[in-house]
Amino acid sequence: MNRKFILLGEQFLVITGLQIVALNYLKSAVVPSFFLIWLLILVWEENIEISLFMAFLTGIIYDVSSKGIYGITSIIFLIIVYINCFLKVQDSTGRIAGIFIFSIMYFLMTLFKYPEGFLWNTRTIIRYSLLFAFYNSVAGFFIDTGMRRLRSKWKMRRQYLLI
Amino acid sequence: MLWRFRREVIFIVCIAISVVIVRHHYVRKVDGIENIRKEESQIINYEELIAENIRLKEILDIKKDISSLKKTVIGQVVSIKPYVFPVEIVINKGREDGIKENMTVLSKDMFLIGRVVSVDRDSASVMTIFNKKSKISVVIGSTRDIGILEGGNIPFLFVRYIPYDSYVQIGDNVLTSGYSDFYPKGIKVGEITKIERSSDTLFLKIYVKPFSCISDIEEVVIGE
Repeated sequence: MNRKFILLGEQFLVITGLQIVALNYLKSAVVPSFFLIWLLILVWEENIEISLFMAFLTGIIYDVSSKGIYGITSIIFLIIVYINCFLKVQDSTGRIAGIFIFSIMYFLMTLFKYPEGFLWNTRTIIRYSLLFAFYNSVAGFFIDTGMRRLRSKWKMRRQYLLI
Repeated sequence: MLWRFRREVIFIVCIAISVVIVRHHYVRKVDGIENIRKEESQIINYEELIAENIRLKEILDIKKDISSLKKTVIGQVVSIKPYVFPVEIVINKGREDGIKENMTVLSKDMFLIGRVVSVDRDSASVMTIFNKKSKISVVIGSTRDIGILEGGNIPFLFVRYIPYDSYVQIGDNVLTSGYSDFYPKGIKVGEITKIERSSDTLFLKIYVKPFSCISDIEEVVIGE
């Protein structure tokens, strides 16, 4: 149990660092959401309760560091994580496809305002949501691979300790 | 029983807390207590205070040159939505500071950001030029052609209804025309970066790069 929490803590710190650096230093029209990618991978690995908590926490961190309205991203993350509680995506291809789809969903949700609707033009929304989803999918590939490697390292460390 | 529905319970509790936070932060965007805390924390951070002081001095210097604005208030940006090419920003000045709907909002360099669309007691929402609802009457600096600057497209804005035979050139400045009820005349908006000519239309399609890079603004000038 402790090992799992240490692993999650390590991941949380790395992802938070990456997200803050990306938000502050990446001079791009769209910034990948490392938090979203991590939460999706976390929930697909059946850490459901933890990922719901983390959705809330990372959402608040994201809003604070991006000068957003506090809590908005938490709500979006929570909805996406909750939907993914019922999906089991194990293979890498499926995960990248999942990240792509839910990134688009996240992007659309951030641009929606009731009762005005979407705040950018349809063409612009499509273009930038696809770009955002592409960035996230690429980042997702590396994060997923990194997490798999980290897990195998922990396995080796555990075996070594047992010897 | 509760354990069986633990994920639903966690989900609902977290959503409820998030909604409370959103309401607290959005409805009472800038609370008096929050301001005091902010000021206290800023006093401790001297470097930030010095930087802010320099920025405000710059604003005051530039303000002297703007004669079209009768009354100005300096405000700070509290929140930006979305983070890139924002369509809506919230500032920490409201009704109590003399802010009214449709007042013009400028960057510290006196470039157009947008206009106030709703005012609370101590905060106001600003619709930026990137919002798809934003339509501004503008004039091309060199030719004095009048067109409509439309938001909703990023990173460039479009100026429409400039005649096909106009002599506009890349690099020309775009300014507010003063014909709109909201924006005074002569505020710099952006610079022309691309001109598309199509034989099947009477008008040019002009791409404008806005001068105000809204993502990194901290202080704004609100005027009328």
